[in-house]
Formats: sequence, structure tokens, C-alpha cells
Amino acid sequence: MNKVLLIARWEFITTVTRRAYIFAVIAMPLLYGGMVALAGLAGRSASTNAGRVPTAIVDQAHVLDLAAARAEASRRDRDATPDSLAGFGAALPPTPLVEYGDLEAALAALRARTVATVYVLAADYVVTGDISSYTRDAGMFSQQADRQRQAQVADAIRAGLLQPVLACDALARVYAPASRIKRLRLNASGAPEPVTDPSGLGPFAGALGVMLILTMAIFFSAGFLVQATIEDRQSRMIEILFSSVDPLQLVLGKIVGLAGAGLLQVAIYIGLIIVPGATLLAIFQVSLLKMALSVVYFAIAYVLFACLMMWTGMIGRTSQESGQMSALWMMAAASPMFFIASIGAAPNGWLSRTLSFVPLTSPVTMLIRIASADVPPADIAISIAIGVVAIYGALQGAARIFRAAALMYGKRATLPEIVRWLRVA
Amino acid sequence: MDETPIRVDRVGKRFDKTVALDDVSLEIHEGEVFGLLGPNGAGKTTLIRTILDIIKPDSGRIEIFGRSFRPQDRDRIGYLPEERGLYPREEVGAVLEYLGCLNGLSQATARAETANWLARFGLADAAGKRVEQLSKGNQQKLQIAATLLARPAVAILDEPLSGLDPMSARTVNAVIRDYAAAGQTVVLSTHQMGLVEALCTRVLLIAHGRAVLYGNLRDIKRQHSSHAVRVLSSAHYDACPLVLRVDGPSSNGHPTNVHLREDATSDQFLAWLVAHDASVERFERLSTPLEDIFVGVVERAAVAV
Repeated sequence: MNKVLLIARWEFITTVTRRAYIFAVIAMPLLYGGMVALAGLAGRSASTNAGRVPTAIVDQAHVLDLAAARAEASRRDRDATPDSLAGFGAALPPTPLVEYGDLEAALAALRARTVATVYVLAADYVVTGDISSYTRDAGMFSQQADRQRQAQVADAIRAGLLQPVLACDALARVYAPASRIKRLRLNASGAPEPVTDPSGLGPFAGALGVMLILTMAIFFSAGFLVQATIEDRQSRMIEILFSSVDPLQLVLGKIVGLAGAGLLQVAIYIGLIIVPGATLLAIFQVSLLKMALSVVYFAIAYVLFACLMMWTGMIGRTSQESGQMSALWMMAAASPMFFIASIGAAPNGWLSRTLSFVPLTSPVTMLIRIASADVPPADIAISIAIGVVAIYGALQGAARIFRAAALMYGKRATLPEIVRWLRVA
Repeated sequence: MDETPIRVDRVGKRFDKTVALDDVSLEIHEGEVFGLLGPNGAGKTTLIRTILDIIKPDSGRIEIFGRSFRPQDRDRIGYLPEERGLYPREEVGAVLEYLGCLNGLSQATARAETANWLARFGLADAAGKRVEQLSKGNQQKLQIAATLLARPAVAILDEPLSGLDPMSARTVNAVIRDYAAAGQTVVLSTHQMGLVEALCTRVLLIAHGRAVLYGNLRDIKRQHSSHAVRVLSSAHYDACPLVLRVDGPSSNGHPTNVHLREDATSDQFLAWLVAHDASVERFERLSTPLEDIFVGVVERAAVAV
């Protein structure tokens, strides 16, 4: 068997059979998944409970007709098209509205926690628009429920004000003027076609999902590489290996084997917890070309990053020092994620293009750009060419630094010493 | 084609201002155990690394089996470096098989050879253990096994006996002797002169990057032997014109060390004893221990620098 493949197989098997790897792959997602599920259930339960507590209204202006308001609300919900309801967050269930004759009774109910909020429409509300609201202090996490209660009260007031002056259909239009939106968009040939995914999240989620999965694989594998490199150094295996293989073969074998371990970890995460079926299906909405480009940029990013991790593993005087240094590379490589909104908003803008042509930031930037829009072929060609050149340099550098590390045995890894041996290697 | 396993021709290597190798030449022949000697920092490891193509020499030429180093030569040269280790958390058998495969063996052959070598070193039951579970001495034997597993044509062993108890050292000595007897070449880099005297046929002594002693061990010992003999006879040595001085009284029933003049030989002295009808019960040339030769040559080299 080819020596690169032999090394790759060894690195893969020794990594995936370690207890730390098995714990990271199986136990961690189960643990975090369990915590997320628990938090979700607790949050949902809290929201449901909050939704069951009524909202009190004291109508001193005498403009409300709660029965009519309920009828309009249910007609709006019944007639609305899915396009007009599209949104990113799940709405809380509507709370019952209860009218109180006077403020004292309503406040007594609030004190007794039989109502969640008290809204008081001032007697001159129609002229001034003044509304007072009384709540118990429920903290920042009750804001969503408060906003929904406020919207319900506003709907009820609107229905009450409009009912006496408008006919049935006109009332429905004024009450909910944009509840029946039909969305279309122009396709590549300029012809209109219905929008099948009104949130726009589907295709983007797919491409973004590919980007996130590949980025995760890069960071996982890179972590293994730092660890494996440090272990080789600490176990004093490097010079023994160099008597059997070329430094470049050793570097390539490690990169291939540990990429496999990283991808396996991501695949198991996908299968176990992290990506639910719907998102996985969304990934398949990504075009084959975008998928292929994503894989190309993944390969470039991975090899580049892997080489940097090897440098780090070799140069650091201790595993802690190597870990701290590798965090710098991770920050640099992941920095485009900080600009994800800017890159997503202007995928072909100057910031996106600049980051695309810097070797370390190029792959993640291009993954985001590809996920967001159609990228000019010239940008793709230039960034891939830069990536290939960077990979060549990084591989040669990694091989050289491995060779230098073998020569440095028994010597303190100070910067001048490293430079000295790099010149010799 | 010349199949001399290793030929080093006027090789030089400098690290900044430090001269690591200065015009070093040597030849190592097939089937011999060659001793590479020198004090710490003399340039032995640098010489080995240039032979293995880990370091490129600044000048001179190195030939492996008659030509410049080729990648496939790595499968023909086994190397046990001074700074060595094995993957501590992996199984002994798996590590040896892996290293065997890296040196060109098939999986099946590597497995069979692993079993053979573990048995040879008395570690047959260790195949399933993790390396770190073995004693330091047994790990050392594993490393020697890993170097020889693929039966390379040349085995370069840097301090192979360090950390071994006398029994294990004896086993390793026998392994090295058998390995050379089977036609393979062994290069021993060591400070243990006893090992060199027991195993090596030829040696190179490096000091300050220069070859200061090179050749057949027996010839070197003869050249550097003192002009002294240990004699038990009836003669009075003071009367002999060949004698420089005598340690202790003659003819007291015990052997006496007799130092000869520089232009005299032990054969001439024996002839003188016979000519004077002395009854000779014991006569042996006193050879200088290799360690003394080593120290003397290195000290003279230091003065020369």
C-alpha cells in the first residue's frame, strides 16, 4: 500500500478509537442535545403557561367589542395565505382577553396572578390614544409574550373602532390588509414564477448548512492534527518515521487520515442530533455546482489549515502553548463568520472580494458567498488559484518544519533555534 | 555496479559558525559491524542524518549502494535514533506491524515478522499490551525490533544498549551478531567501547567533526598498543638492552609488566629470552584498552584544534 495511505489509515484508526474521540463524537452531542431539548421543552412549557393566563382590559373609552374582535381575528387567520404568515419565529398561542369594569378589580386580579397584564384605555383614548399597562415584573424573557398581548389588544381596539363604520369585507381588509399576499420572483430567464419557499431560507439554509458542516469538519480535524503532531513530537517518533518515509508523505498521510476522522465526527453529529431531517433535505436543494465548489473550498481550507496546525504543533514548547497558538489561526480562518451579514448582503462587494483573495480567509468567505449568491467565475478561478499556490507553500513548509523538528530534538524550541533549524532542514 | 552499502566521500557540513563535519570520508561494507565513535557533539548524529538524507551536506558526496540517495533507499536502511520512542498508547503488535509496513513489508509479512521478533526478544505475550505498559528496557528492545523488522540491508543503531540490563544487552549483542552474520550491515554508534570491541570489525572515530581514526579495529589496536609485555619467566629483564623499564622485581613467581624501548618489538624480546635459555611460562602482549586509545586520540585532536 502507498505509504501516504498507510499513514492515513494509521492516523485515522488511532484517532477514532481513542476514548476522547468516542466521547466527543457520541457523548457530547447527546449531552448538548439533551440540554437543548430540555431547555426547549421548559421554554415551550413556560410559553404555553404564559399563553393561558388572560389579559385584562379596562375600557374606559367604551370602544371595545371583544366578541367582534374575536370574530375578526379568527376570520383573518382562516383566510390568510401561507406566504403572508411566513416568518422566522414561531408565534405564541393567543391569550384570552377579559374585560374588567374598573381598574381596582383588574389590579386585584393581577395581584392574584389570575391575569398577566392589565391594559387601561383612557376615557379620552379616541382623542389622545393614551393606554396604560400594568404588569408584574417578569423579566426580559417575558418580552415576546408582552408584545403579543399588546398586538392582540391593538387588534381588538382596531376591530372595535372600525366595526361601526365599515361594511364586512372592507372591515376585513382594513383589519388585516396584507393577509393574502401571493409571492412571485423572477427566475434566471427573467420570467415570474411562484416562490415555493417564502422565507427564502430553504436554498440559503442548504448552502449555509453545507458551509457550516464543512467548517466544523475543518476545525475538528485541525484539532486532531495539533494533537497528533504534539504526540509525535512528545513520543519522539518523528526521526524514526523519517527513516521510513519522506516528510511530505508523512504530512500528507496525516492530513488525509485526520480529515477522515473530522468528517466522520461531523457525519455522526449530523446523523445523531444536530441537523434535523428538514434541514438535511434543504441541503439537497443546493445545486450540484455549488455543492462541488463547496467541496473544493473545503479541501483548500482544510489542507491550508491542517498545515498551519502542524506548524503550531511543532513550534509550541508545550501542548498548552500550541493550543493557544492554534486558536489564533482558528480566529483568523473563521473571521469571515464575523462579517457573515455583510458578505451575505453584498456577496460580490469589495469586502467579500477582498476576503476571497486572502488565502486564510478565502475558503470560508467563498463558502458564504456561494451560499448567498451566484459568484462571478473569475472570482472563483482566482480564489482557487490562490488557494492552490497557498496549499503548495503550506505543504512544503509543513514538511520542512517536520524535518526541522526532528533535528531539534533535545533543544529548547526558542524562536532563534527554530529559525536556525528551518534554515538547515 | 558498486554495491558498497554506504560510501561517504569528503563530506562537510556547517551549522552557522559550527563545523559539524569536516571532510569526512568512509566506506561501510556489506555484512560488517561498523563502529561509529566519538565524544558527545563530535558530529556522529549529523553524519548519520546526512547518510539518511535528513540533512543535506554542504560539500562532498554520499552514495548508498553505489548511487545518490533515492527515496526507495529508506526501505533498505533501518535507523534507531538516539532520541527515540514509540506510540505509548498503542498496542505493541500494531505499532510494530505499522512500522514494518512503512518499511515496505506487506501486512501479512509484517504480522509474521512482528511475531518472530517479539519471540526473539522474549516479548511474545506483549503483542496485545500497550507500549506504555512495558518496562523501559522492554520498550528499548521493541525499538530495536522495529528497526530490524523489515530486515533492512543496513541497520544504523545509535546507542542500542542504553537502558538495557546485562541479560537484555547480551540478547541484543547476539541479535546484532546474527544480523551481520546473515549478510546485513550494521552501523553502531555508541560510547560503549566494550560493545565495539566485541562486535565491530572496523571503526571511525570522529572528533570536532573530523575523522581522527579510521580502519580495522585490530590494526588500530595494534598501532596504538603500548610497547609492553606481561611475562613470567626465569630471566632477569634488567639485563636486556631492549627493555626500558620493569614494573616490580623480576622472577618473583608472578607475571611482570616489561616496557620495551620504542625501537624494540615483542618478538625481538621473546627471541632474547629464548637466546638466554630463560624458561618462559607466560608471555603476552599488553594491548591498550580501546577506551584509552579513544581518550588519547580525542585529546590529541582537541589540542590540534
